[in-house]
Amino acid sequence: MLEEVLAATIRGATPLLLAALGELISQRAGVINIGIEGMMLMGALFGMIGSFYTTGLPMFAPWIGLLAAGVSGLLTAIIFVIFTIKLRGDQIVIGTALTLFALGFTEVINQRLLQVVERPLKSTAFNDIHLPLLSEIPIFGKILFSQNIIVYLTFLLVPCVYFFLYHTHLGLRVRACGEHPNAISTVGSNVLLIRTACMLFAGVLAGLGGGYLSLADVPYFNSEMTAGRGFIALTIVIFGKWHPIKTCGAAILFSFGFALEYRFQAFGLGIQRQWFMMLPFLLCLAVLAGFVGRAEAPKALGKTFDPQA
Amino acid sequence: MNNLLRMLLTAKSKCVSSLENYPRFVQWVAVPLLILGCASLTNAIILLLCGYNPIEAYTAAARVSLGSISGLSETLVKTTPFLMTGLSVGIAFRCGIWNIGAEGQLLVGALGATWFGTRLAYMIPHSSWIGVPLCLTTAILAGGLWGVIPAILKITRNVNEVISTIMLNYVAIHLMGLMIEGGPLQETAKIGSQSDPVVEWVTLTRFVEQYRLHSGIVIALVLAVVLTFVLFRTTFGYQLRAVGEGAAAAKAAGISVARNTLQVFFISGALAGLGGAIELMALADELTKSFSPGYGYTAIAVALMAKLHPLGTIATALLFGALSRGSFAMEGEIGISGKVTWMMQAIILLYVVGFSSARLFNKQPSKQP
Repeated sequence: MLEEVLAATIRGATPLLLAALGELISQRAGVINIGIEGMMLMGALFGMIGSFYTTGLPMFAPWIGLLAAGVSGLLTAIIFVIFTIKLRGDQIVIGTALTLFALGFTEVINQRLLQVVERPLKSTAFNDIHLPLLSEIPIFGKILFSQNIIVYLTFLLVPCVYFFLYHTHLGLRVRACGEHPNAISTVGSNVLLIRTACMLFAGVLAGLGGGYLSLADVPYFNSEMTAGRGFIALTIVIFGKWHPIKTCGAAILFSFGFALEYRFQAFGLGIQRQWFMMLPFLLCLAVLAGFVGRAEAPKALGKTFDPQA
Repeated sequence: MNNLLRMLLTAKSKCVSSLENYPRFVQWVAVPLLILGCASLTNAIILLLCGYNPIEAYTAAARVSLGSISGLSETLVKTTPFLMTGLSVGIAFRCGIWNIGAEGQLLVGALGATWFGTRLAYMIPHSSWIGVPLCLTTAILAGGLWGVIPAILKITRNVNEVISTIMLNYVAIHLMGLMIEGGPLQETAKIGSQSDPVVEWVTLTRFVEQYRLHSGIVIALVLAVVLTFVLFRTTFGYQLRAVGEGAAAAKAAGISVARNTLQVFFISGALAGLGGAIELMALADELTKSFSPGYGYTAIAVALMAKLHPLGTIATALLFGALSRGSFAMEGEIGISGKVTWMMQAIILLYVVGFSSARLFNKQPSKQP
């Protein structure tokens, strides 16, 4: 029972963590991307499509789907970059526009496919990989080492992001872009270029996070399948205080809450599920307000940078 | 001090910048039409690539939304919530407050109206002259107070309102679920996840029985005019715009930014909440989970396309109402998903940002006075 809940926690945390890590990097560079929900939705749709059209190659189909998911996230991020960085539009407005766009676009495409394609729209999903020896460990083996490949890769990404942000030159510059873009611009770094790169990376990760939903979680697409996960990823970044390791912790914590909720539901305990769904957002507000340990956002977060000003 | 304020007000604001050098006609008529044209074209290209016939789709949409009296009535019915939330977002953005929370404020307003209309209404005299105003007031208070939460967080704890309002949207969605799915506002039969229908003496009347067009549109139109007056002809509106142009300078000129933020958030929340209540009291009767198809998010496009002017918002809300109505026709007659309306809204929003971008119009970045 507990084993199952914890395994579900790790599985559920993966798409949240993927999207949150991208959001983390872009926010540390000063770009707030609330189009993350839209990017995940695009990833979910194109992940399914990529895998669906290559069903003939069962070995490669999930990977091609994942590639398509990443590329669709990247393309959405390119639109974001053109409008916010090239045309100096407001990040909040563009983010909202992209989420709205994805909500409409994915449903239009999905409905069209349902009209045109005769067989059921199913993707070839990733299989679970039972790591030799490690998966034999009692309890932990099942929770940690019997998951699909994206889960492993995602959790491996956490230390990489940590190392990048805190132990490389470029990571230092990224953080500086989010705190004092003028200062880092003065010493010769190209703020717009760094922000563009971070944003594109965030787009790819959000797309992959969406792709996980239609390639590993369930083998189909549904336009409501992201169900606010993009915004939960946003709360995770804040709850994790813009730090990769803490963000990973926050993703696991929130995912545990959702997994628990699902079990509670199955056992018919008298707690309404909305309490669990509401909790991440309330916790996030509490953290922002400083009731549960103060979180400081990057100082230049969401501010358009104009090198000529 | 007056000079300083005047200087601030002539300063170019974020969303409206760079078009000011052009004649008024170009600013208010030509550019929105150009935006609409470009957006329709982009949307048509996407539809074409999907294998639909965009011309057929557009004619169907135009015919159904504007071509008959019942269609026009439905378009106006759809316009009302867009107008209310558009006004809500517009006034907040004017004051430099990024209130993304209209969706949540609308839901909480509707919740307040549901509470009144299905529970408290039995305690008052059964007359719509008493019931309707009281129900609307409940919604105003509910939406307004929900709007005050991010204001307090911003003033006392310096919490960015963009993030807090997004969070509060989701809290509101789940709060609504909590109330109507097994909670105190669930229907008396306790079966479906919806509320009881509101009692008859708090419903808004229709003008003509066979059309759904209701008196809510009048409330919205009057509010648009009142807000225009408040924004441009009163001290409060003057201060509000001054804070929007630059909070630090407005503070230096003696305006209490904190008080302004609080007031504007209350008004913004109240408008959205009222929009939710009108929708509930005129059409939905009972509160269900699919009550709002994202009115609060569309409102951002509505307000920005109107350049945050309440009277302009009437026109853009009408446009979005027609789009929304037209998408039903596209779904029914051509088979395009009705959600195509969101895609169109998003494209419009992107063009609005593109067209107000300083970099497209002026080669040189605009000089601040």
